Amino acid sequence: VNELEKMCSEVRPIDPDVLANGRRRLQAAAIKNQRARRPRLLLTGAAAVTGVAVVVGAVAVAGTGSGTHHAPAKIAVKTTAPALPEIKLVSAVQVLHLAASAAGKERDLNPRNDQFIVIKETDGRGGTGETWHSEDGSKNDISYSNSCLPHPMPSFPCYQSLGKAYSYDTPAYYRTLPTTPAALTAWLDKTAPPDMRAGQQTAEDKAAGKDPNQYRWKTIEDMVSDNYLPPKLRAAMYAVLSKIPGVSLVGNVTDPYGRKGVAVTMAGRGGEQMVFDRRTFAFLGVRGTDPGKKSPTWDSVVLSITVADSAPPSQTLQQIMQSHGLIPKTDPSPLSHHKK
Amino acid sequence: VTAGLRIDSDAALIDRSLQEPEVFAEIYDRHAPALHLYIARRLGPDQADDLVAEAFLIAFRKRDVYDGARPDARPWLYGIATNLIRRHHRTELRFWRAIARTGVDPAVESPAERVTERVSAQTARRDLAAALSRLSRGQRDVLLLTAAGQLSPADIAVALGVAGGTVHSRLNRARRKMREALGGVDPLGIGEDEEK
Repeated sequence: VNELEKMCSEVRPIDPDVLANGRRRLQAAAIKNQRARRPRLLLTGAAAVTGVAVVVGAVAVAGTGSGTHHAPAKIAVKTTAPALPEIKLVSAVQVLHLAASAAGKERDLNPRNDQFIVIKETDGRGGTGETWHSEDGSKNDISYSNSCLPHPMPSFPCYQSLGKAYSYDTPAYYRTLPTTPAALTAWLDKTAPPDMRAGQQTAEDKAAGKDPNQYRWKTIEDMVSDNYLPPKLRAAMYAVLSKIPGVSLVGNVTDPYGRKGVAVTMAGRGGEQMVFDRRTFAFLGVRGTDPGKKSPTWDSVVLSITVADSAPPSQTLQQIMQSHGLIPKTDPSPLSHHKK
Repeated sequence: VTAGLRIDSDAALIDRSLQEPEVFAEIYDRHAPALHLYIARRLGPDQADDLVAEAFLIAFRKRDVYDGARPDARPWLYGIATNLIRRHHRTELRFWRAIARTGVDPAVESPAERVTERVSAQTARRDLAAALSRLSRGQRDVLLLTAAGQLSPADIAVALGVAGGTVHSRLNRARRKMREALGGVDPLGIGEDEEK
């Protein structure tokens, strides 16, 4: 790296407060401007100039009509238009703001209580899985895995019943969480272990290195990786993360599916990173660095989240093991620990 | 994947912002941090804090004349920022000269770090700052839009409203001048114009 490049890359990123301030000023100007609407000239003018502009324009139109019926993202993005230039990413705050803004615009899947949220994911080491989460927890959750039983048992794909989810871990439950950054922060602090609650910490807690921000980051990271959270909640979460001091940009990464992402982390997370899509800023997954290892590996990568009316038929772990002759059929059921 | 996601081009957002002005905030979210970096590199972080907000207010007011055929708004935004920086011509020169003199780079170090003068010994940076202060305005614009703004020569031509040939000749002159000042080291690395 030459000195000029170095001199440019080392520039300190904008302070989050300054960034937020500038945005407020812009919004104030926008609100003032709201009534003075001008005629739409740009699109037609642009369309007349180049074919590229026509396609870009078409994407925009498909997007703006999203009030009642949703234009599928895949169609809107996969036009023949040249790929849009990537936005230059210089700070974690920027990435998290973009993620918040993208989540804020996402259409809510809005499942009915009798439906299932289907999350398809991989651990990045060849294991793929799919989980059907009963929206309100009234039905069994089902997981499909290409190797159901724990090592060193034989590996084969199966649908396994996970039993009913606890009431505080259903998709419906996550819909009840606050969706503004301030209220969400308050909720996180209220539910944190006492020694990690912002504003309630004793001197000893602080001296012991208990950090409410670490708890906030970790909790949000876990919730986002494991669940379908309503877009508004995710937008609030990323906004909360963006305000944490010590968040930093790790840089570009590619996930096991070849999707280009950008990784962010915070000081003290030991190399654990949240990764967002480089273009859509949707959450892709989490990477972590094992102790003693240098480069991070993927902990989980979310492939897709969809809604289904029903879940496939399944077996309990006990039935699976019985059907494969791993345990006798007459065994009482010590393994069916899911109740409720 | 997750339903309803789409990425609009900058041009599409700017067009929409004519009807819905608040949409323009998204242009800010996308580009403000990078634009701040560019300005901070040339004028220091304090000036950059003010100017980045100002640049976006100007852009917002001028959005009705944005050329919708350009999906990427960066050349336009960097052009506005560069015009603002030119109004602070003297400040910029003083900024580079101070780095050349002290070796302390306020764009990189926080005030607390300045006390330690950790980087004071970095002669390479002092030489570079001195050389930058000796470029003409046009040459410095082109070189720093390349290095700090990461714009292509074609984008720079749009940003500055000059011909592509002008960008190339300014860039070559800036590099020759810098090479001489730095004792044969090319400021942008080895070889001639690597981009386009």
